[in-house]
Amino acid sequence: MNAITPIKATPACDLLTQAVALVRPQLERSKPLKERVEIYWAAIAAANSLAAVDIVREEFLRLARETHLADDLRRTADLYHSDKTLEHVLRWGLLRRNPFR
Amino acid sequence: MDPLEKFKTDFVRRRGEAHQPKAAKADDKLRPRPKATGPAPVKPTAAQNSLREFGDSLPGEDANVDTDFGATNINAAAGHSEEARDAVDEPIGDEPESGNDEADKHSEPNKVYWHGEVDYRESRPYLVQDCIPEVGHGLIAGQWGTFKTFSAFDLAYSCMSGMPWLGYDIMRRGGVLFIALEGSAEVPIRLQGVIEDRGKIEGPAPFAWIETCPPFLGKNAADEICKIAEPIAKEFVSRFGVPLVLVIIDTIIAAAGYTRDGQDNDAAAGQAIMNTLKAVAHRMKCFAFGIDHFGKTVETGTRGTSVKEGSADVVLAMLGDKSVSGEVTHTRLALRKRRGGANGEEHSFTARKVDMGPDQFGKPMSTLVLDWSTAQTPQPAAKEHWSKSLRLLRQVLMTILADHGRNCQPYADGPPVRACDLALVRQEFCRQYPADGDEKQKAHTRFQAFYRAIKAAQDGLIGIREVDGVQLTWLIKPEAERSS
Repeated sequence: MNAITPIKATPACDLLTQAVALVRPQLERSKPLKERVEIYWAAIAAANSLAAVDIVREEFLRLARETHLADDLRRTADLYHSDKTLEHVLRWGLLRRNPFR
Repeated sequence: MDPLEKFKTDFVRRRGEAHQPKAAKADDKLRPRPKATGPAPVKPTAAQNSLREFGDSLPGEDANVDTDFGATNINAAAGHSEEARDAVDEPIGDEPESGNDEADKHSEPNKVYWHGEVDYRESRPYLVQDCIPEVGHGLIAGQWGTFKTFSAFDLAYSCMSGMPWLGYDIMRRGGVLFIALEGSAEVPIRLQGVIEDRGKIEGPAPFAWIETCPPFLGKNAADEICKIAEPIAKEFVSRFGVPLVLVIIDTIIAAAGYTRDGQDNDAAAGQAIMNTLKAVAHRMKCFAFGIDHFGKTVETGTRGTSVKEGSADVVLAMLGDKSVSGEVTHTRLALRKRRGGANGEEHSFTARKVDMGPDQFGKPMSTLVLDWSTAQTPQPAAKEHWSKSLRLLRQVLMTILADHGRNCQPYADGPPVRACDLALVRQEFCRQYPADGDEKQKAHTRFQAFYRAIKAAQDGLIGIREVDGVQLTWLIKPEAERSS
């Protein structure tokens, strides 16, 4: 047996990616859409300081697409629930303003 | 603190804010809750569940024990203070008798704020960015015939649809309650007119109106109005998923309930009316606009006591040049008073007739909508710079713009304008321009006059650009005036 166990280098991972990875399982489709949108907004607002605004925006847009949140929102949101559409939630999240009041 | 830990904490707090928005405020009016006979297990909040999904235990909770959520911990996780929770748990008893200044009843007069405690970015929430705060009261004032109610509908439409108003962003989209004490029969058609003209809203709009309201000078007026508004606000939430954001009272003088001559000049009465408006706004957490008339002298502003304008957070003045016949020209909306920006900014507009189809007897119906075409960008008041030789061109152009104009964006990076086909302007100009001689000479003279006028006007008064094979022309008065 080789006495020297090779050390596995941990993959380089920035804070925002880690934050997104933490949030991703919470956005699973089994949850109600409203709850997912709330989680999504809370994550954006909390991750605001982890990277530049455009990077945060880009990452969270990708997250929404990958977790199918964007598709689900587009499919179910009528005019008045479109308040909670992606753009709005993203923008308000980045401004740290609560769109659910 | 590790940034990721901070993220987790912040996330959980925000999650609580998103999920329990109403309980976050200590001054919310709450329903009495049934008293529990013994200690009952408290369900974990969404915020706590979020924290658990990170694999963390809650503050004060043993990781191996997943019960015993103390109320304090719930509050901490949801971002609520214990004081706020105390307020939540406090049963609502009989409220004291109140007069017209209930506005401050729910505030905390002894609360001291320290620099740095309040984030200035969150301290001034807007309904319309830089113009109208989320909560407050104001006036839309003007002489009769200056399109006060139409402009109120225009604002209401923007609040309902989220479309910018006068170029300012709508920051809080929601429902509108209109108290129509004057011309209530006009409400449905005016509302439908603006909705159909602007588009975007499909199906029923979050708009409700009532035709009566308790007198503002009466006892407990604000309470009475809130009693009417609260179920409507709940209906907005349940039916449309939006909050009540705007209450419009048309008009203040009809709503005031004056009982004797000259009471509208009474400062105390004026203040009482504004206090009622303020109380309604604060209780309903929305903006309350009263539509009011100007006095005979426009310069002195709103009719009656000056207290009204002094108390208002926002005053929108509807201005125009009125002739003896009643025709109103040079119509414009002035941001006469606001707390978040420069006062005096003017936005000119024109009223355009829109066809509303036949009525129940088959007769054609129409109403008016406002076109802010030349004033989408804020601009100061300016003088007239059309020379005498260009007056005919201006007159013809404005007529054609009104009849055949359409909103378009001739330059991809430029502002939207109301433009029309230059050929139509030329035809009408030639018809109106006087000329002598035979047909050929007349045509030559008129064409020359037209192109002279066009060339002169292109120097900062009109814009011309060929778009999709059509030569479009439009007024660029604001820029021309600013440069002079």
